Amino acid sequence: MEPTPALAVLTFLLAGLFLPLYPLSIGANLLLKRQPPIGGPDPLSGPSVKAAAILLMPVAGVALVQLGLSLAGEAARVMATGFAVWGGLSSMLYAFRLLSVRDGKIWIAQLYCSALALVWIGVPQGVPLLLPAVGLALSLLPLTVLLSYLTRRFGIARVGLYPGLSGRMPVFSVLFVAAVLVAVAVPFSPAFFAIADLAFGGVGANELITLAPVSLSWLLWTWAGVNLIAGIVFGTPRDDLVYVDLDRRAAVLHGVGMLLLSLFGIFLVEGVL
Amino acid sequence: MNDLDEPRGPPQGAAAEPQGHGPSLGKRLKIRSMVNVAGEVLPFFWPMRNFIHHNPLHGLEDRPFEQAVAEATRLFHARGYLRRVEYRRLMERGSIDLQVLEGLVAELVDDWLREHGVDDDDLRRLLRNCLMTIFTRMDQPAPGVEVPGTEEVLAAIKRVAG
Amino acid sequence: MAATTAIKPFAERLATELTLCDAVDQLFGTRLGETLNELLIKGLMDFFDEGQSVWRMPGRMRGLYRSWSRIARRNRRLKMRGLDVGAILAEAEDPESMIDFVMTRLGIPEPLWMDYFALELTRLHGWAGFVRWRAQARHYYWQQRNPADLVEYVALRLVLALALITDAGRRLKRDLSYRALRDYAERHPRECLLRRELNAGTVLPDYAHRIEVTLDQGDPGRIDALAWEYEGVKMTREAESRARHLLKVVDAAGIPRQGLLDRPDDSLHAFIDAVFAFKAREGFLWTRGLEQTYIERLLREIDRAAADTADVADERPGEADAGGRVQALFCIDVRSERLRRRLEAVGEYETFGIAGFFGVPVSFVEYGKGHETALCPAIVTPKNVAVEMPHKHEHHRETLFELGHELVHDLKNTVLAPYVTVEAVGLLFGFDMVGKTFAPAAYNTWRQRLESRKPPARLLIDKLSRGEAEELVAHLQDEMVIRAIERHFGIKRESVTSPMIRELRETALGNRSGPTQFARQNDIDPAAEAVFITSLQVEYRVNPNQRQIQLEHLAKVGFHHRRQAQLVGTALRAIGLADRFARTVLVVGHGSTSQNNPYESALDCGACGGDQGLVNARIFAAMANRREVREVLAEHGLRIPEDTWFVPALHDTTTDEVRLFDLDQLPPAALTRLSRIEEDLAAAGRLCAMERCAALGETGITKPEVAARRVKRHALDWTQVRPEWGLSKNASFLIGRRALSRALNLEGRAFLHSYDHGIDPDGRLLEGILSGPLVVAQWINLEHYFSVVDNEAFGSGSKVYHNVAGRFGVITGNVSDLRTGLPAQTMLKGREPYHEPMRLVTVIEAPRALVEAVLRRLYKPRELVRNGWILLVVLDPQTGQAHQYHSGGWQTRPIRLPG
Repeated sequence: MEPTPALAVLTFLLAGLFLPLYPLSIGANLLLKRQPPIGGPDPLSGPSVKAAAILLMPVAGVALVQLGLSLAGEAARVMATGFAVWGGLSSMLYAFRLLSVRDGKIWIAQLYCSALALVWIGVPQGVPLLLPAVGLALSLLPLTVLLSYLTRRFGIARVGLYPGLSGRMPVFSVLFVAAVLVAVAVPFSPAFFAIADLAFGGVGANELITLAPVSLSWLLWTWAGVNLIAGIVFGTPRDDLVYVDLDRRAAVLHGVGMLLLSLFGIFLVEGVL
Repeated sequence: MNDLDEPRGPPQGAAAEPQGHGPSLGKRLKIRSMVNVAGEVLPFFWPMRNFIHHNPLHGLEDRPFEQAVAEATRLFHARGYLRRVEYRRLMERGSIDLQVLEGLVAELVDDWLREHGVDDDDLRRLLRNCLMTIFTRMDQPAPGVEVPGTEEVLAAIKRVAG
Repeated sequence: MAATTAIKPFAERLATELTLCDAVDQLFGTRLGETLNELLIKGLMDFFDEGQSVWRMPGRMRGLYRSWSRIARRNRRLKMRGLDVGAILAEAEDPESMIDFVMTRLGIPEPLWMDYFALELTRLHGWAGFVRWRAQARHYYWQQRNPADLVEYVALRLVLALALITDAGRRLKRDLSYRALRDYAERHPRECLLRRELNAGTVLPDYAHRIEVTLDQGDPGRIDALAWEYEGVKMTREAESRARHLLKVVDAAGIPRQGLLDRPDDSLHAFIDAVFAFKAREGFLWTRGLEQTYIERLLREIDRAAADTADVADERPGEADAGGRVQALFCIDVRSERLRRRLEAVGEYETFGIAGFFGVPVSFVEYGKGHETALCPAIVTPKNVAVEMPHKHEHHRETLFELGHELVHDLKNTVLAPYVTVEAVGLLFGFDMVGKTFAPAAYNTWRQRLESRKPPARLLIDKLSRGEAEELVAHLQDEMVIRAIERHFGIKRESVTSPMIRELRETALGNRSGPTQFARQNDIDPAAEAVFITSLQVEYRVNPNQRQIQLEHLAKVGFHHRRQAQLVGTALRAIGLADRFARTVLVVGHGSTSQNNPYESALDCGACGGDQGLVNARIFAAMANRREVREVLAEHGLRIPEDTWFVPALHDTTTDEVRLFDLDQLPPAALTRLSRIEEDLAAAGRLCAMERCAALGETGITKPEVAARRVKRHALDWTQVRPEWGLSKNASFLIGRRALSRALNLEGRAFLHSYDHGIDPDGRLLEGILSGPLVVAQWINLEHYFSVVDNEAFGSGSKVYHNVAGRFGVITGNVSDLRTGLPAQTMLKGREPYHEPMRLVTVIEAPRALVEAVLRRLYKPRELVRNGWILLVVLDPQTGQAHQYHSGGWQTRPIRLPG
């Protein structure tokens, strides 16, 4: 194919829908934060749909980016850098917004946008993109599952409505904390290896332009993660609600599932698989 | 040494007449006294270098204990008594005698029935029995914000039991 | 028979139960209340600092309001938050006008103002309580320098409130004045309801999203409908949960459900109403149960003890073994009870209880300190001053250690310190920390040896004659002159003669004029001499005015010996010790030892104003030993034998050690008796330590010596959050002869005041006890009561999070309300309450008629009894009855009493 820069740009922009670049990220955002409206159940807001979206969108995005790169030809470098900067800024923007979010669904959506925007940073450095993208996506899954559990139990997953779960639902709380930590790329979650790859894996390792957005976003994610944990797991529990902890089977299922997912993610990103 | 014999006031003195738009002296003195009266319910705080044990409800000592505790609960958003489970543990430790408690419950029930002009021995026994059960065997539920009327509770009972 | 307690509608609660900031928070989810508290507390901490911070707030002598305004006007951080405090502050100069301005601007109607002020004041009741105390503490040094009162406090709060509300109004694009909010609440009550549910965190979670969406859409019809539905659902759920609860109760009580449901509706109504009415009074019921159980047990034990000892002879040992007998006066503190019990078991000791200040209210000036401490209950103001004078007037030589210590301490407090000193000096601190943590006893002993000791001092308690006072002042001024000469001219003491000094002094005082010999001798020209004399007068205060003031101060020092006799006589009679004195009478004050404990003075003697009781004990003993005093006492019928000697002592309530003092003043004959007394005290102390260790839950205590070492370690361990339980678990106050309580094991829970009604026919002594020590004990009792029932609100929470604020109080974290009350570690064992919350059971051994007569004469104790703040039990020895006061009347039962 001959290089057609205009088409390349269009392809990149299309990829920006899936590896979210603000404001193209609106679509992904809306999909992920969809709540069942007042009218009745909504098939698009179910957890399995969300999980699938979280896994598939990055893959589509990465494919489009590869396509765009091959279409761009010589201009690839320049274009890639431009989009990388856009991606970095977009990631930081969403990370900032993440700090003030209290609703679980919105939280996942914004973290998704922030995390996957970082993938753009790896583009000019020549980092193979698929694995980091998948790693970041996988890390969000356990939290999505647990937040949907909260939604089923209480009708909504939100910080501050039912604090103090550690007292009443201890098993769930342990898993929840682990899930949040995995989602915010604490070391040994697949996301951690993913962003390490993005920052250091390529030609431009150690450059400010790669490190700054990655570090800042990561810092803000952990802050937001702590807020989330503090608002749900800690505090004084309400007395007028009924709390039902995960039963043994569900707990084991969730726990093992998370572990397997993480291991899979780690191996995947580290290229062992 | 320091001439602090005059009542401590702002250096310009509350006695100075204000310019134009400020409140009059009388008004200012009234505000002063309102604040001081409003503050009477506050317990003093001595500097801790010489800690003074002090009744936090000192400002409410002019009323009966139970009333004062209720008022303080409202004012300071605090609890005036322990939780039931803690009292039960005191009972297990032997600090509260079951018979003494029964006697007090009986006294309370008699008073209430007398106040409401009901003289139903059966009800009396029922209440005594139920209250002792509640205090000694039931968990204390949290107070809800809503206070349903008796009618509603009765209807709910019939619904649930029936 | 409806039992629905109508909760006031929101519109009415505005400004009567909720401040405007609270209302806005509840309706719109803002955090105005929190922000207001934070900003205010920061300002208060800056202003009230008493020397803790190194950078001090400027201009504090202008008062709280003015100094804060000056700074707030320029506070850029406030401006950045969008708070235009400067514009508001420009509207009024003094706090009252500002309050008027703000309340008018907020639109709150004047009849509601006083309640509104009360609301604002109770938000941070620790800080407000402190301001209130300071406003009336005219002699408090810091209040004199930096005055503050409640009006200024309220003005500050209102200024910040207005700024926050204005800013919030701008952001929300709403009018947030009282009128506007009230209209809004009245016109859209359901919308308010939904908003409040959402922001209060009490919303049913499954409705949260719907409510949010509906409120955002803003369609009033939908909002109303949703509100109806929500209210209904919530009410039904609550009703059902109550119903289920009731049915569970009925089942648990063993009553068949059908039987209940078959009852007529009226009966069921009554049943439901009654149950929920009683649940509201549950706490009080339990409290009464606790108290009544204690009373019953106590009376039973007194009865039994009296029966057991009925045939034993006279309770007070006779004259025959006068030689071996020792009497001891202890403080009424509950911790003395243990020691008294053990001591009486160990030997022939007769103990008495008296308020820890021994009836001698005094202002004490310690050697080396520049201020007076009031050693008496907080409700009494001392009129006399006692001074400590060293035996030798030593020139205080600063040891190298002390200099170093000061330097390091100063370094710690500067801003640059962390950068500079960590590497250099940090090691020293580490050494300190390691020593204190791993070998507290040894380290502390070593430290104490390094620090220079205080020279032995005696107490000056006699009045100075005019001549003596003048001589003292002259001496002082001479010292000043010597120092001035050295500083000014560098000439040492050796080169100056006494006549020269005297001459200079007289010149400064204006009693002579002309050149001085000093100037002539040292070739100082008249101009320089004049400057020097002026400096003497101004800087060194050698002037007539100052002399007069000093003489006036000295006139307050000491007690006239008639007054001394009066104090000693009253005290001895009050405890019933008016005859049959033993040869040695110990006067035991108490104090406690702990490290790193802001609450240390809470463990000291409350009767001494939170200080140790040693000084009062020494003063009392010195007075009682004086020949002149005994002569006056003998004139009034109280004969103290010549060979009786009063010895002051200090009971350390953390380690239960008792140290005797002023032994150098003892006549030789008395000295020999003392070694045996000290051994007995040590033995009793060790037995107490065993009891104490059991209460503290210490393990591995096999022998008293082990226990003694363990509690000693508590006193020296800086990591110990609970060096002793202190006054926790206090339950009763016994006023009567020791015979009443000698055979009882009161477990360290009773205040014991000795009293003999036989020598008090008109009740004057009982009056003294009821209006003084009883009130102090009641304060202690209720402080503990409320600190245990709600440790977060009335108590001060866990010590672990405490930080000292301004050197006068503690806060939790770095910004919080000033913590009042007692900490969790003193009240709770883990999470369980250790102190049992009950009102003070006051037992008086006296004829009921006497007690009633005395109460009729006293206002405060009568109010306390009538309103049920203390529970009164009168044991009438004349009729053999025990009377308990209850709801205006007496409940009587027979009881056997000793003697």
